[in-house]
Amino acid sequence: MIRSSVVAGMDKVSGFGLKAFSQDELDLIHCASMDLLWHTGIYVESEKAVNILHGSGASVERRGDRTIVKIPPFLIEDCIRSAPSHIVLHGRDPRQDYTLEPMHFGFTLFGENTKVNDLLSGENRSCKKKDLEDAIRVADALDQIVIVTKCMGAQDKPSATQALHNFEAMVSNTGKHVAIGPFSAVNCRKIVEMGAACIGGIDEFQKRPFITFVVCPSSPLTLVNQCTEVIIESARLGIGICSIPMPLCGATSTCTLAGTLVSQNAEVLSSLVLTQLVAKGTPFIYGSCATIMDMKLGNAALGAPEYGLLSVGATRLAQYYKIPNWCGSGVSDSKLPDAQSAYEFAMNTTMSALAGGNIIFSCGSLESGLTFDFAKLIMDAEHAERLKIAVGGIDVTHEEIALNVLKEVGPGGEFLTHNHTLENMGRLSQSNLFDRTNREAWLEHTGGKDLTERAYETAKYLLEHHKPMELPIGAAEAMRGIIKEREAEIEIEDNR
Amino acid sequence: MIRNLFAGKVQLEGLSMNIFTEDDLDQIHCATLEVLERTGLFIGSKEAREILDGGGAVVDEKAKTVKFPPYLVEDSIRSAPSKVLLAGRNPKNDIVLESKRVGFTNFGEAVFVIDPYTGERRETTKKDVEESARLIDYLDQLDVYIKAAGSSDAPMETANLHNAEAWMPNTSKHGFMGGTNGYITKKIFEIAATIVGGKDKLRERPILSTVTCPISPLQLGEDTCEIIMESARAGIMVNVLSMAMAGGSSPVTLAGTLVIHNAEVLGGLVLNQLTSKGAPFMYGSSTTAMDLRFASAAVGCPECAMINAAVARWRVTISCRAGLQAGRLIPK
Repeated sequence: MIRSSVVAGMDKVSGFGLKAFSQDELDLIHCASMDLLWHTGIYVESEKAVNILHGSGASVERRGDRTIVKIPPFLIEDCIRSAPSHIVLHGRDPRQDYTLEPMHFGFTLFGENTKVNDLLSGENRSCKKKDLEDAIRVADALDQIVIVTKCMGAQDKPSATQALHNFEAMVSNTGKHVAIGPFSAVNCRKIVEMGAACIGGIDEFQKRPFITFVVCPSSPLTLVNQCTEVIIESARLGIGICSIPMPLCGATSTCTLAGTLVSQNAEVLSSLVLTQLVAKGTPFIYGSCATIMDMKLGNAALGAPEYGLLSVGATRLAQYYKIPNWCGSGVSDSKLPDAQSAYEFAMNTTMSALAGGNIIFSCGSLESGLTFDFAKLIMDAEHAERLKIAVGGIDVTHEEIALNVLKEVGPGGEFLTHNHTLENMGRLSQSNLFDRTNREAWLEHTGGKDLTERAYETAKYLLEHHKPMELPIGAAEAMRGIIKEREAEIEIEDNR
Repeated sequence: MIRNLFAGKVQLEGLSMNIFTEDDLDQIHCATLEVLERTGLFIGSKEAREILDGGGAVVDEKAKTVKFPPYLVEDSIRSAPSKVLLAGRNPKNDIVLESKRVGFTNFGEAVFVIDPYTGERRETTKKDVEESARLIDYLDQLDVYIKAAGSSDAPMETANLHNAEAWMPNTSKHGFMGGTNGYITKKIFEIAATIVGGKDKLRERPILSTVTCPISPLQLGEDTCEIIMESARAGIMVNVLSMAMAGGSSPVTLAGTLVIHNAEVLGGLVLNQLTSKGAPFMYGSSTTAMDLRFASAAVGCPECAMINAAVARWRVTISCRAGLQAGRLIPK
């Protein structure tokens, strides 16, 4: 055997990644966003938010009934620095804690769908609280889903308390971190109260806040009341914020992708500034959900390649700012979990994963984000597992090249029975639901069923057998009580 | 507002993968040179061994193995062209292979077809060769054609002549096909020459390229050698497409698989360049991992995508085989 010595200072890349944007290009997008926020400004509905921004150095212009807030670059850059670059998203179950760090990627559900393909009848109908419970329970069973997102709303509940019902449905069915849109300040407080009941009190909750509140700035360049109200309340409560603007290229942003990135960036940064001004150091996640409008149809096209491209762009910007990111991607425009939905998910999430999307906001969603489908969730999770292998890349070291094994086997030999194969074979990818067998074995094992059918069966199996982490004793009753109390309050307010 | 010019702004055109440093590539290259020099390849053809012997390789006539000194490998890498024009019968379908330009083709070769009319799965026939070529001719997204199916209704010895007769009139795109052996390869070139109006015309505007596969690990069979040599002589590009299977015919660790793959293709390249210096050559890849649970080649697995991304990193020229495989022209 030839002796090989230590390698001196060899350049390594770990894993495979995506090359997108030079430093100069990122600087250009940043400067354009600063220009936009300072010279054009944003429309802020809430007087409370206007006052906070004004008091910290933003300039305020009244135009009729509209208030435009212009944010100076120094303020934005200060806030970017004060936002944490490393966030732990705690789960109710400590084993489910998920850390947001540069280039690490994981998956979550897409939210919010308004309809569901019924698991039993296949009927496409509006969703109920029970559907959200089921979806979260299945997501809890899937390792690839790192945190859960409110993928559907409890539409069978009154709108004023729907967010509380949503939270109850979610927290009862998972030990993972919960991302949810609360819609109002009072809901923020109630959800925190409910959360505290589920983890053994407010002190414990503050140590391990297992909730992130999701807000959506409106495009172009608008912070509506609901959005700023939640930001202010949640920063005060010490709960992290994820800000996801949803600009549509050609409709609510420019028809060019770079222009869309700039306005989306300005929208995210404006919400970041407000978060940091209310409470410096509040965890903030840079979200993106920008895509194009199909100009022929007038619809948002979420299966379009541009959705993937814009997500990669936003992810790069978040990494440039050293802020954890939330990466919209992988939703399909198809109405069924069919080949179109698989192609669209595979292309856009592969781009997002290679770009290092911390939380890829994608699984289980069809019809441009309107319909939740259980088979799609199962199939998406399987693809997510494969992406781990693909992004893991090929390690080039002496051990991995295994030159001595190679020489030992030599021309015309085989490696199947070599010790080296036995020692390392566990590291090759395996398929779970995807089929790799030959035709005869496939017929025997599946009876010739296609992937979608097998995925529905898996979802039914998980719903029947998976037991999520139980709530502490009394938590369910406490949550019921909080919701009842709130419902009573609303009744009084309404009667007044 | 005035916005002046940028001074030398660095821009990235398009999105691409970020894989392997120069050091990583050097290490794979050096390991490959070591395998070629110390372990060598099995070379099945006597004529090929003679050519390699004359070019400076060390031949063991009894074991039919050939060891390649590093300078010979690197000379061959340098002499192979880094830019090739693949002519179509219709010049509007000409495609240039160079650097990182990406292109698509169909997969080849399938032995079964799902009949588009009856839905039945059956063996492919000469008619399927014709029809698939015509369909691929229509699809703008596919840049070149590769024989998608074979004429299993023709005698095995002459099947490729039937295949050539079937696809050439049915697409005006550049086509790739296997050559069976040296004799049949020459006959295929004759058919192509008849179509374009003579051998010189074919050399000037080659409407086809050949594909041949080494047998992993580290073997170039007699037919493979003949196809490589005949193609070089006719000025036709040969795609040496290695099909190693990690865990079966190559090491289970992917970096080792890349080395096996690389050694096989570079061995073919040396033979190609010693037969005719400057002959166009394509670096092919259809390498993947074996699913050790089912003992089947898993071509849908992420390893397949990674290996082929890695191969393409040597410098992608044309991405062969829609969505799956990436080949390249020449490692430089």
